[in-house]
Amino acid sequence: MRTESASAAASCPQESTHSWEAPGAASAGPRGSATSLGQLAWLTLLIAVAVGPHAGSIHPWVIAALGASLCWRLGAARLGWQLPGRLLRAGLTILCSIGVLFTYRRISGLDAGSALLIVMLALKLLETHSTRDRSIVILIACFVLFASFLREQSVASVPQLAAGVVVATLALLQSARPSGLLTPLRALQMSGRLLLHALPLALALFLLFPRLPGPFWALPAPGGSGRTGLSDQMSPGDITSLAQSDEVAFRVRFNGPEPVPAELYWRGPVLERFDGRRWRTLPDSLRDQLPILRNYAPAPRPGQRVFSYEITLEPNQQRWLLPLETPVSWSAPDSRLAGTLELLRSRPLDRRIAWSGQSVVTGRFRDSAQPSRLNRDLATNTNPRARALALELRAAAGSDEDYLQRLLQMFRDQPFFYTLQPPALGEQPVDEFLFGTRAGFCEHYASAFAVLARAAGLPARVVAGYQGGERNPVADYWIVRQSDAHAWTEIWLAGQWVRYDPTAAVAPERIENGLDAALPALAGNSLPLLGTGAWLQKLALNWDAVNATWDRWVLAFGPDQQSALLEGLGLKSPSLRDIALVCAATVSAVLLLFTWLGMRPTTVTPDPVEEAWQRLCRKLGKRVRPRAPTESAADYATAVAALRPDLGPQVQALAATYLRLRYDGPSPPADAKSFARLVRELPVPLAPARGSVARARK
Amino acid sequence: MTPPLLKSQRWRPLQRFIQKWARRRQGSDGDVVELHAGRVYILPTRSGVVFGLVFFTMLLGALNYSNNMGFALAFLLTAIAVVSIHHCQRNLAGLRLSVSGCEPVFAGQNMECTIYVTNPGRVARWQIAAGPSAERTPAVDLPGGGSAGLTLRLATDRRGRLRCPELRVSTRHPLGLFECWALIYPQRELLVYPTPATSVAVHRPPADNDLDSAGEVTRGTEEFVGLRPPAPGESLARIAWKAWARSGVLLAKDYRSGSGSAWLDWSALPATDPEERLSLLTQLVIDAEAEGQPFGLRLPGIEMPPKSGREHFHRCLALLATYDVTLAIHAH
Repeated sequence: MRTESASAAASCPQESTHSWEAPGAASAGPRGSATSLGQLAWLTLLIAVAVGPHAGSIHPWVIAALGASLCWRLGAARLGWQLPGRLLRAGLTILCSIGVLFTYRRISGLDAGSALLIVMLALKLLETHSTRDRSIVILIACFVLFASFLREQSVASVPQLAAGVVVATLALLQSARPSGLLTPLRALQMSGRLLLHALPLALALFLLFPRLPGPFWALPAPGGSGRTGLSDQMSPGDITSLAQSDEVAFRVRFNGPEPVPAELYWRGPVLERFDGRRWRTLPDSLRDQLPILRNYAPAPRPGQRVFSYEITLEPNQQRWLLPLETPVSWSAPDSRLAGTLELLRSRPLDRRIAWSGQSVVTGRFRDSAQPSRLNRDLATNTNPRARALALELRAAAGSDEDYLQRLLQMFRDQPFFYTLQPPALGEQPVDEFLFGTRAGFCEHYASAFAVLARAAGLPARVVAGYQGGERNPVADYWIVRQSDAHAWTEIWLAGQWVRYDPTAAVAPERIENGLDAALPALAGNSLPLLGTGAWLQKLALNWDAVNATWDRWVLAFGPDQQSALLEGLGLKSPSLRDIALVCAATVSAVLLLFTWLGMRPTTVTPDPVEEAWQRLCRKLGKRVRPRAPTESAADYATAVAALRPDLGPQVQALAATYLRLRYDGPSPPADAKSFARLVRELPVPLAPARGSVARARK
Repeated sequence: MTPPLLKSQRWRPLQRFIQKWARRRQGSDGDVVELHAGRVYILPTRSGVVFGLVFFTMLLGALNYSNNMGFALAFLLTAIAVVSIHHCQRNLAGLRLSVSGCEPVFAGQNMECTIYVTNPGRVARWQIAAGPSAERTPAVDLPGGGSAGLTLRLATDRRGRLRCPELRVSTRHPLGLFECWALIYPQRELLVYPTPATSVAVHRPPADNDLDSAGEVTRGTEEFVGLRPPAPGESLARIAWKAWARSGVLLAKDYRSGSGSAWLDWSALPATDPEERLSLLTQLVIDAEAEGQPFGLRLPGIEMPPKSGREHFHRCLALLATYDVTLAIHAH
């Protein structure tokens, strides 16, 4: 009978008041309300975790500014202090940026960049009014945390990563809640679940996300400006200063037999040019003219052993890969064996890499190149006394080899001293060393030996590298430190280069047992190496083993290891595209799994009232008429009453009870039970009984 | 409450598109709606987009410096953000929404509708906001089995059917990087009755008084049933003078032999404006209901046979609320 109304008005709600109330819920403020003290506490904790590692290298005023800003913000939240207005904030921003520029003389680079980030963090803290402001603070803090890993990524930084991620999650969780904080326990539980679910995804991304070799843009100078290590030149005192550092240069693990310590010559730069004082390598342009030793694989002679090993090389900003003396094969990508038998990368090493190789340990080997004029050159008018001595000794010796043995004999017999504190040398360093001070470190002996050989007409060169190492029995590998840096000589004899190590003549313990063994006898030489106590040393070795494992398996993970991993999974020489596909497929699979898990219906506690109502609807649906899906409970009861007046009063009463129990707030469970009982006991006869119809008509 | 990403003017068309699309695929909803996973939508909030950009920057930095700790941080944070999508969706899906109240009112009064959001599960739901889709509402936590109610007061200005506003239930739990929401289009009809015409008080008791004061003797079983326009040559005794004094409209009292019920007739009313007539009839229906006598309602094209009772009363008012006045014009 109803007609549709054309004039039906659909007026918009002009005013709607909310009484959004939940049992036990805290009263809700508007979304994005002011930052509470609890939220600030979480932000402060996050900032402490993120900025902490920078504290040592950032200028103190930046840290002080951050501290002042934190105090100001906390004071505002706690004691109602006035926060700076827009104008003051703009002024402070400009002032702080100028401050950073003035302190660091630039705005890019690790130190200046992180200082700038921390200053931004301090300024943004003064403007945390909404959820969005808080999330920006958290974002900047995350970036500061990221920057700290550019400084340091040893095992010690793992707790920092874990703490940073957990606290960042907690801070986000709390700052996205304008209606009051969660209890710390509940918040921890939530972020723990998030982390637990995120870990497999993060692991898949870490292992499978395509790693691109090489930097895309110029790397700023690393944090600690003076990175120690070998270089392409050597003056007296250079290696001495290196020997003061117990920084790890690389770690080596031998597969199979290990050489004895005296055989461990890790060969680095070959220094061929001499100017009277300083030894230098060939310039790259000249070295590149030497034929490259391709497929250089001398069959090991009978009795020669081949050692295979894996080196985890610390980033040293140099190109030398430091193989054991004569490399036979190597797996390092992007590298070649130069004519001087230097194993060179094409780019300086800016990250930790792991490579494996095989070497023959022999003191004699053949270059691709014959010795050149450079290998005989003695800078004119330098070290005249040394030259005279050389000529004199050569005349007395029967052969070149005899001459070289006499030189070693001289170092051994005459009062030459091996020391870490050699006196300074002047304009004629070799003369002064041989006839004056007679106290020196390996580079003094190598340099003097090479000069004496050249003066006698023998081609000679100095080789820098490392010798020996410390064996870590905890995990069966060798630690080679900067203090193991060494220099020795190679002399061209009978068509091949032969290693002569004059240091071995002066201090044989150095070669056999390392620097520690060679030097304690000398007064005043205290090396900042490992502790003296045996247990301390053991602890240190254990710690280094952890670090080595970390470096080898985690930090050295790069494009090569990724390819190896995928090859291990059965993918032959995967291209970047293959890796990207595998990564995408794995991540999608994980996400699909999550989605599937998320789509499962939630566990529902059955609501007795709703169940009873559904039962009533089913009962009446069979006997009277089914309820339309959009029909309200009251409408349905009315309709049933119209069709079956005999049931009317009971059904309408039940519907009213249902509505009351369902929508009028909490009710005692007994009510729900009695409602269910009434529904169960309601008789619904197929047709109305005669009498009842008659009664209803009356 | 709109997701912040959509809040800016630029995104309005997209927002409208999503709402239309959701409407098309969901259809209308009954009084109780279960938010199953298929009707829960999710998009990043503005913070979520910014976080994404920062993660990407971190990733570039880590690639450039081949910094594995940097990779670890970037991937962990990204994975947490991605997992939070699922947590967010899971936090909303499965909630039960019901609309109740919405009793009809007379135009000009506020209609009150109550929306209940119930958490039928054992696991608590966090930071749930609900309300008309155009507005922001604060969020509340719902413990297992808990529910929260929101009362909407809808202002009415005209008679007719009021469309229940579309409702939006949303959450940004856990990290605020994503907002998950569901749109509900309740089918429930909200009826707004015409405003009773208080200015033209034409109802029975004054007419009786009129009758008595005129000293007219009621004719046998005839009884007063209502007012109609006076016929030419109408007896002066039949004119409702008191009504005329109040309203300035000349009406004649109508008597019919005693059927015991009265007809409220559209065509018997003097007002020319159809809406005004409906208002008058509304007042008459209210009065007749107060009398407790059976009454019928006669509108051009539609008739409600005389009856009494609450249900009849509301049916008559509903008819008046939704009456199509063009029918009356055609009838003439």
